[in-house]
Amino acid sequence: MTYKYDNNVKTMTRAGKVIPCGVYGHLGPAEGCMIPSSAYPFFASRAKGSEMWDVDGNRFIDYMCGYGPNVCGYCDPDVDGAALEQIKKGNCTTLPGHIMVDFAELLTDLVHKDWAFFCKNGGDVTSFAIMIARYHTGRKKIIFVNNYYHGVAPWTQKPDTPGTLIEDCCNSLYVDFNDIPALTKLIEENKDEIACFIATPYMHGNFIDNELPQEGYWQKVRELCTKHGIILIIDDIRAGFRLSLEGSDTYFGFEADLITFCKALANGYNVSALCGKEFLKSAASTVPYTGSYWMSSVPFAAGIANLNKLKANDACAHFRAMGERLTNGLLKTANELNVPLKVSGHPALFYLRIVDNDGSFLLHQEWIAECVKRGVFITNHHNHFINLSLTPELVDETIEICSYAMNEMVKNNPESFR
Amino acid sequence: MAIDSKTLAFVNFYAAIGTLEKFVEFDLEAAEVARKQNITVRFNVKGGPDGLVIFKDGKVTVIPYDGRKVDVNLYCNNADKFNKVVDGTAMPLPVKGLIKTLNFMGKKDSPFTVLTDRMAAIMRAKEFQNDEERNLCTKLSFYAMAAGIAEVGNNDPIARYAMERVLDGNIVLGIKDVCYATLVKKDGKLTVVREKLPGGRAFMTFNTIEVAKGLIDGELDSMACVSSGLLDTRGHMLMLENINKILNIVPKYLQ
Repeated sequence: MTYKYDNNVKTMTRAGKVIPCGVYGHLGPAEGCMIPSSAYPFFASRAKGSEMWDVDGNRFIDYMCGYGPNVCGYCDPDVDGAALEQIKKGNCTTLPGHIMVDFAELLTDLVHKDWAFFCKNGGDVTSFAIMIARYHTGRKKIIFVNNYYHGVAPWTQKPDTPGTLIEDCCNSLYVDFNDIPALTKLIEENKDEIACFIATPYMHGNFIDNELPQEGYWQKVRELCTKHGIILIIDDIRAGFRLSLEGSDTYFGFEADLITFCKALANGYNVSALCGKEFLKSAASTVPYTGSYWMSSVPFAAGIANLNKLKANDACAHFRAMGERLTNGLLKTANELNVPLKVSGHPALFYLRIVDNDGSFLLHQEWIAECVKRGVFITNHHNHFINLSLTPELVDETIEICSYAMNEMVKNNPESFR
Repeated sequence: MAIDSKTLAFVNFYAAIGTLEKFVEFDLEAAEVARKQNITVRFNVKGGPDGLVIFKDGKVTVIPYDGRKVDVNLYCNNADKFNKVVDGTAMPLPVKGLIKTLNFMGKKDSPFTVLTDRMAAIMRAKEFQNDEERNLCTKLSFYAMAAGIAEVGNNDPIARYAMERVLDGNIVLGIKDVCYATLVKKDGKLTVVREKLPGGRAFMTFNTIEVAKGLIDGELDSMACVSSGLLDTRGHMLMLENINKILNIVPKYLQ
């Protein structure tokens, strides 16, 4: 039995009339990670822990976790309790709540940085990091790692992106991940012009197998940046607090000058943070940057409860263990069925791909669709997320469903698996 | 967005005139008109397309100039001039075959003139006498769009960024069970083949001819159609993402 989505489609039809795209952005089917869209639900009715129910009443074990924010579990009683307590005291007040200072102290201590600046979304803090780097260095150019994603602001885009100008991209330089010779050459070619190098701690780009840093990569990048006065920015929005609670730069054994956090910071409450070293604090004070809700107290209360819960439960060890349990189970089935499944990235943020000969992803997309229609919410070309509420029992149920789905896919494509 | 004359010339030649290939295939009257003349005509545009329009036994073929002997050689000294020729406000310089040029496109009842005028009228029509005519309009618009993606991607200064990021391989575009075209990315450029080729890496299929018409005319929102399944996309999505970026630019050249 596979799921039906009648109410989802009806709701999407309504949505399409009043909301551009129906569901715009990364949560929507137009983004390219929900293929075919007919296999996917579009709207949730409720969620708890690691499970989510759609508007047709279908239940899913959810490995997208809101694309990251669900890190303790949906409707976590400790985080939601702290938020509710803060609501009673005030949220968006004329003077910021003192809890902002508590949160900044907790966060900077945890991630070994000297200051924290709070915004709302990941793109807010990556943009601020770039502005700080440019102001501090007096330089224009930014080095990006190919297949990057740092938000949707024009500086992050290519000239062919609707709404972006060629001029927005004329200071962008590109290099492959793990390619120190190319990075060295790029720096030499643009001597004294590069404000910053921005990258995620490992290559967890969409549509590509994820790639961990090679031995010594980050240490060499750090050395080059220091030598040439380039600000080293780590975009830890997706991986932050899933590899290590001390920041992914610490996890990989180097120190970023600026590091951005968002998704796993407050278990779904809207706050992001840019943390930095002392020498950039003055620049962060000088560059004008603010927003109507950036000092709201409720997300700070949620963030404190969230980080404390992650610490108390050794969350990153749990993420790794559950990720390994799941991917090992999937690989076992794949081996039995002679399906060339490739798992890449960190187990807490595992990425899946069935290798095909023609590079079309069609078999992979078919398998994922069969999983979703049976109650495991995973997407085609994005990394997945483990959260603290995920139990071994749910993982084993997932393996069972995904194995059945893989078998269905194999049966439907006998010519590919002879 | 600025219109680039050179890009427009390529679109005019390969996407607009090129769609005659399908017009004479779909429309019996058009095929009869084409059958009146067997002729090979070269359009040589300085800084623009250098291609052949071949009328043979009621079929039309539009291809890049390949060095063969031609009956007529028409020259335009720049892309703007050629675009005016297509608009009907200028004539090219006949380097070879003056009389044949007049027979081919110099009069209102010349085969090339009749075919291009009639095809343009069908593609621009807002009201139709019957479903057949409406569907013909949609199919022709579909093929013009597909060829337009290739030409805009190869030539428009902005679209080239996206074209260069499209991986090598075949991208199949189609109206389900009605008609298909394949964009082939190879050797750093896109070419269109007006049929479904095997070995596709990415696929974009309009579920019905009505959906195709709505999307091509800009009356339906493409993202909403993806969401509702009216526009089915699968395969290598990064290839499609870049094709979509080119597609966003195509209408300004096809208007």
